[in-house]
Amino acid sequence: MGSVFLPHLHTGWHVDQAILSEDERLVIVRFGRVYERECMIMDEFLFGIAEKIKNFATVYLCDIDEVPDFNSMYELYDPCTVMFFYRNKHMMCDFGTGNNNKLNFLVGDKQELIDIIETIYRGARKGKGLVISPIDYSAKH
Amino acid sequence: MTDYENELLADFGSDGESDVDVEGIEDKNLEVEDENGYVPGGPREKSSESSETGGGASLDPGAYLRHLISNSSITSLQKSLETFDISKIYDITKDSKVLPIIGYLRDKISSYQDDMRTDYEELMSTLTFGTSSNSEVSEHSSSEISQYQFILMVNEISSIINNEVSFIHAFNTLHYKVVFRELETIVSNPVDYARIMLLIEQDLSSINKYQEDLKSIVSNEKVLVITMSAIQQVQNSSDFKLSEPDFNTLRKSSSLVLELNELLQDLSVFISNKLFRFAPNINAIVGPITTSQLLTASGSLKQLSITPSCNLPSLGVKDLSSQTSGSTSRRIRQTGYLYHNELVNQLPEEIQKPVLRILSGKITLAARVDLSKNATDGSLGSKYRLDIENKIEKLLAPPENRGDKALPIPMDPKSKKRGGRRFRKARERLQMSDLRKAQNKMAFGQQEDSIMDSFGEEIGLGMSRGVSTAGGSSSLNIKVNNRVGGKVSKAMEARLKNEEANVNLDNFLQNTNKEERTERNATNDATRRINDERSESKWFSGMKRKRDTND
Repeated sequence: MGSVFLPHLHTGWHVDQAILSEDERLVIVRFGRVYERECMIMDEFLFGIAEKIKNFATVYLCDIDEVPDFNSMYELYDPCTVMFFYRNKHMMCDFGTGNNNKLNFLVGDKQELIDIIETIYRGARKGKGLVISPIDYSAKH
Repeated sequence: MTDYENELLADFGSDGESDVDVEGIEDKNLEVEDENGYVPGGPREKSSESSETGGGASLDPGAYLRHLISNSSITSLQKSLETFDISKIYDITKDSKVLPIIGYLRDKISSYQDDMRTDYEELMSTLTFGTSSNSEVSEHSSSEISQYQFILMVNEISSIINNEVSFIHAFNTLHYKVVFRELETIVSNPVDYARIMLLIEQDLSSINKYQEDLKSIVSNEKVLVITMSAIQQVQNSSDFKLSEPDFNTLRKSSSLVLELNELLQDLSVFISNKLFRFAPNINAIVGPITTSQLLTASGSLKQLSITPSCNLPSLGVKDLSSQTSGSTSRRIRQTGYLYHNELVNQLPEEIQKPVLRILSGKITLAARVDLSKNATDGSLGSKYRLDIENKIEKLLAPPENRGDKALPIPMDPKSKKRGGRRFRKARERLQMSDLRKAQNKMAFGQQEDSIMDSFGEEIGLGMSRGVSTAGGSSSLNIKVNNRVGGKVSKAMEARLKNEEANVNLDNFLQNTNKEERTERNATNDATRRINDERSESKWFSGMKRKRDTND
């Protein structure tokens, strides 16, 4: 349900513009398929926190079937992948899972997601390209 | 005299009444006569007749009324149910306590209603002629006082009448049950019940022809239900009928209910008319019933106006001590007259308290306005009433839905630490020394030295001793941080010195004592030994003992 209320990006150009246009805030793009279970839950989380984090982050959704432009570049083959950008720079985060490029698993709850986003924002403000996640997901995923 | 007392006892149906009480009534009785000048019949002259009539009508109604009010406990429904066994009473109208004084009350009401007009005329005449004698004024005020007292009394008597109505209702239902069982559950209002009973009597089988008349008493739906259940009753049970004299008593009692109800309505109309004159503004806020209750509880309008508003909700609370049990409401302790007023009573519990507060504040203001005879048309009161209603509406409004509040930007605040020479020095004093840092490091592939501390824990020395090279001596040159360590203030220094001197003196005294006992060794030696004793820990006591024996 949450996916209905969040802005969708329908072409590669839209995705680029979304990442480029934001100067002060983190851009969070969810790549995935709306009908997948994992994706639905993540959309629900993102919709739930979108209003809370609007001061420092903005959320977009992108269907990887509709926009396959980034699939090879970002290796988007999971049902749901969340990626973070700041000033047109890809932000990496060490979740302890081995893949620092993206969040391709389900976090426990909304607050965990907020914590991760806040940590990435802090690191991004300091000019870091890689931050360490406040919660370690090595054991869970 | 005794005759009269006995009659009173019989009338009130309470054997527990003491003689003193009865005499009290008689005193009141006399007072009433003086005050009102209304003596419909002397009690002593009529006492002989009273045995025939069997009612209290023979007594002075004013006194009787006062007695009823002062002993309102005996008129409560529960008490009367306890004292009387309804099923054994044949004619309930004989036990009615209010019946004898209905006429008196009616008289009073009409007389005071006339009063209003005559008072007004008198007032006008005095205004026009400008010559009002003192006696006239005093007469005027005294009648006003008695009228006021009557109003207060009417307020009390209305609750008594209500009790009596429910008592008679209980009697009616008990006896009419055999004819029409379900009417009691369908129609709970005693007055409607009595009306319907008088209407259909025992003629349940032809209930359909009463339908139009029933509609004037109760709602259409109720009429339908009554008709249905009446037909059911006729079909199911054998058509039981009360005997004519039995039903006659029921007729009498139900007409008594109607009469009492009419009296109640008259009283309330009278009271609202009168209160509009005495306290128009309070009346406009809370209505005549609560106004009269408040006036009764506080005593007078003047008293009410000087009562702090926070005390108003407490007026009329039945029993303050039993509030902890909280049968009615847990939130509100003060379930007084204001709480039972229709303005407060129907509100949800959580806003009753603030509304009570607002209401009592406005009532106090209105009482002061009424006392000063301003806004006699009650305009201020109705303005207050509007204010209160607006406030209630605001309190009832649901809270605004603000949605989620956005989180602040997670920016790390700048460090508040200062720089500068002083700050650097303070930090140096507290920082870890190089020696300690060296202790925390370990040389690779070499066993470190260790010591045991006083708790038996092994403590590694790390590189603090210097890494032992092949030669075995330390090769690391560790800088000692001279700036580390606490500073001793001058005062502290002086105190320490002073203490040292004291210790020396103590030692000296102890030594002399010991010398006396052991009779040997020089003072210096002893001093040294005691010092040793103090400074060395227990583990070394063995050595000391050894040295002692050597000595």
